[in-house]
Amino acid sequence: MNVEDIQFRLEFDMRYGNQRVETAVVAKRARINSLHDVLELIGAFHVSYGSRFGEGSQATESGVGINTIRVTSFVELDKVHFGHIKPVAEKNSVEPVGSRACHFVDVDEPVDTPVYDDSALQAGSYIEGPALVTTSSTTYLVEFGWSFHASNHGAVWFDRLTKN
Amino acid sequence: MNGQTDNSQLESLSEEDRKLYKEFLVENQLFYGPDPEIMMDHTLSPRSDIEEELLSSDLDAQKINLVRGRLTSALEESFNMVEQMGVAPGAKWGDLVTAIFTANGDLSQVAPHGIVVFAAVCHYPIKFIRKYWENEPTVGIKEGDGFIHNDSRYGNIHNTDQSMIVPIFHKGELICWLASTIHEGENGAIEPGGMPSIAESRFDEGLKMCPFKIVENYEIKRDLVNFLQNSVRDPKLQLADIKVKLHSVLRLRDRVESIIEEFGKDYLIATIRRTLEDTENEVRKRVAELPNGTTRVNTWIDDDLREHILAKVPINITVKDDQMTLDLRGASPELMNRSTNMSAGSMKTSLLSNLVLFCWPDLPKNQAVLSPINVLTNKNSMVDSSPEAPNAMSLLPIFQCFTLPSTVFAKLAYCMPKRYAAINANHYNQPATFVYGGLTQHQEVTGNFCADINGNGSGARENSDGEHSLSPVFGYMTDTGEMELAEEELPFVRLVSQQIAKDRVGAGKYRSGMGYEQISTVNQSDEFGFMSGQSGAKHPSAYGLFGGYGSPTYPLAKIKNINILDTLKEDPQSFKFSMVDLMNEQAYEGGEYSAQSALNFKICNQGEIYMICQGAGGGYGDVLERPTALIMKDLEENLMSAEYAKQLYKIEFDEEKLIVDEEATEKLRQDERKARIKRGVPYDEFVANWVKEEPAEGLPYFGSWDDNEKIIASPPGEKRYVMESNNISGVMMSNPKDRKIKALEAEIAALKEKTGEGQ
Repeated sequence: MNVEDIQFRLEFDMRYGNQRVETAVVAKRARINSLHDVLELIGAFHVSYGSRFGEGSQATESGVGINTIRVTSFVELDKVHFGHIKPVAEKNSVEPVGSRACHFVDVDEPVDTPVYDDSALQAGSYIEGPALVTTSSTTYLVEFGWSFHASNHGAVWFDRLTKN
Repeated sequence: MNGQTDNSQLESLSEEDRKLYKEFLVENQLFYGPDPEIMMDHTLSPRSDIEEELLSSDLDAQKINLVRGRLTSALEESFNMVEQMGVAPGAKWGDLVTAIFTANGDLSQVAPHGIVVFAAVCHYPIKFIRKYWENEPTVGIKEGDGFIHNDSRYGNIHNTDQSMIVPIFHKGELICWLASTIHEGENGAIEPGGMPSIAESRFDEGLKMCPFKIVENYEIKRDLVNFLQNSVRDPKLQLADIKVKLHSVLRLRDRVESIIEEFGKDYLIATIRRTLEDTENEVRKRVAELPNGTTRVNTWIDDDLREHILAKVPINITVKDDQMTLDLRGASPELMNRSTNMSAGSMKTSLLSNLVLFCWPDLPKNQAVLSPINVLTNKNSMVDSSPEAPNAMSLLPIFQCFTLPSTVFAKLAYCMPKRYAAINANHYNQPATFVYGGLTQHQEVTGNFCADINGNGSGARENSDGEHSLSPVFGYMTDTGEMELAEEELPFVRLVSQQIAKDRVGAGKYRSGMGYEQISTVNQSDEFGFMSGQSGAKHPSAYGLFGGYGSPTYPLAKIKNINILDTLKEDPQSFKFSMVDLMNEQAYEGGEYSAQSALNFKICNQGEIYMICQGAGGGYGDVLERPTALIMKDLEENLMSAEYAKQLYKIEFDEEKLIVDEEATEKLRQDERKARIKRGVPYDEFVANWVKEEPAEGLPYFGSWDDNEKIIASPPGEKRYVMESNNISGVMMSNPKDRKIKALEAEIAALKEKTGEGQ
């Protein structure tokens, strides 16, 4: 990181009257020198508050308070783009790692249900329910009549199977 | 009030004349007062045509569930908006509701936080709007409208609560209502803060907003708001919170519109009606599970905020198959010049609140919980007062009602194999908090209340001790507020903010939770004071269960004519952070020490001390069965003194090491059991000696004694009289000052006679 990449901005946590919520407002200038600057800050608060809680909800007449004055230092980083999470074209079958007897709503008897692991998160993996996919971060239950279709970046698509 | 007339006169007219007569009255109504037809009906409206059509069709239960979930999220969001944006202290700590209603005005769902008691009382004004304003050419109901309301005679808990009620249309069709209600506090009454203890008529109560339109095209009409601001002490609060309520409802409207976009308006209409019907059916099922029979309890409030009285607030619960009846007949008559009356709507929602918090806490919080339950009252009683009776401090009997059903429900549910909540003794049930008002350090005039009632102690349960300072009796997930935030805005200082008090508990096999005490003074203002409206200084308000003790009594105390702020500067070590020590030691020379029940508004000079205590709930079960380990735990946590433990629980232990002598304890307890048997008398003998024909002479007693048909009134200083329960007239009380003057005059006359003067 280069020193010259570090940027600064002046922020105020502001509120109307004695309300609990405080709204962060980024000042347009680093120094408040005149009444005009104060009104400009109140104006920026007005815009920010209105966009959060609805235009017309502002209550400047109740008094405007500043609870915190803060200088924020920051560096702008490259963004991560999740561009390819939509369903992929290929549908690859996956081998289950085991099976368990599971109870499903509206099914009287337990159903022997295949269990899959993290490998099912490979983009293109395709499984029709009933199935259990246990991964390191979550467990997916694939119900009867539904399919599990893995895409990129760990995205998973559930689709209802067309009734024949 | 409503252009109604004697039925016998009407019957003598022909059908055509009767019709003409009614049309004439409707067209020439002088005033649209509270409508008994609306206010006395707590049941669900019949299905509308569209509801009938939709609920008779094949609805997808999964979609209904999804719509309910979306509504829950939307209501939670709007609730949080009000809590964060609101100006009123009540708003900041959760004393508010956001809700969705059917087109007919039945409340279907509230936000999953805050105050449950709003659930069965916010629908009345919507029914009024539909009945009176919808077809009134000068008013009407249009898209973009918003109605404001606060008068509890038209439906509300009490007059401090202000609502914003907005109709929602879809392609021109009224499909539901959305509303937000906040305990705003200040409303221009005779005392600041919105709950005047000295109101002697409804015209002492401040703003009397029957539902009226204050928003058009989603814009607030500033001329009307200005009129309201001109009528109250805190114009900032009045304007700002109208905006907050409107914009939280508009956010809710956005969410409802997106639900309609995704699921269609039919699913929205069907879901909100279905939620009500499902709830009602579930309540009927649960009532049917209970054994048939009647159980009862009589309770009393011991104050009307002007004098000590004993005003009866009884309940009988009768279960017959799937019918439950809550019978409050025999209650005190209304007091025509005291503020402690309540309307039937407020009373009923208190009963609902108790059922849904303490008996069936898993039920949805909506008005259908009470809909299938019958409620019986005497007209013109304190729990069903006439529109003319002041009700500004209805909280006294309301708080009593907050604990009524569960007290007797416990006896019905005790034998049940399946219960929906542990059986519990009374949560503390009086509004023990400071109402304040005056000039702030910022030169602003204000009036409101502290949220300390949100820290009431809970009752003991069948399987565990109660919790300390848990919640108000009427809600859950509320907060008691940040003292720093209050001190920033107001000129009072908490010398003791929230201290769990010692030896002040409802004892039993399981003890109640305790409330906290607080000690306050005023700083930086010479025109600021306090009021407090509560009973329970002479007669415990929260009762024990199955042998458990009731809560102790809680007086309010004050030390006038001192300046503790100077003392704290000069000799800070001398201050005792305890109400008991300050009052017992009376260490400040020249101080005027007093303890009392309620407090009418009084200026607190800078440095004078006002003390109040949140109460404990009731205890559960016999003190002799309390596990010794739990007693030692209370001692370790400094909740109890050794003296209290020994006297009450019959326990022997080493006071230094807190080691119990179990054998000696068992002997003490067996001895006490034998002593109890010895003290006991046969039932008939007890009744013969104990039961009196009527209340003791001189006791300011109000309500039935042994016969619910006969209602006794004993106004202080006047002769006792009895009224028929179906023909109660409100009681006019004399002024306590007049009684005092009369007594002093008599004293002077007696003295003069003694000395021979004046002869």
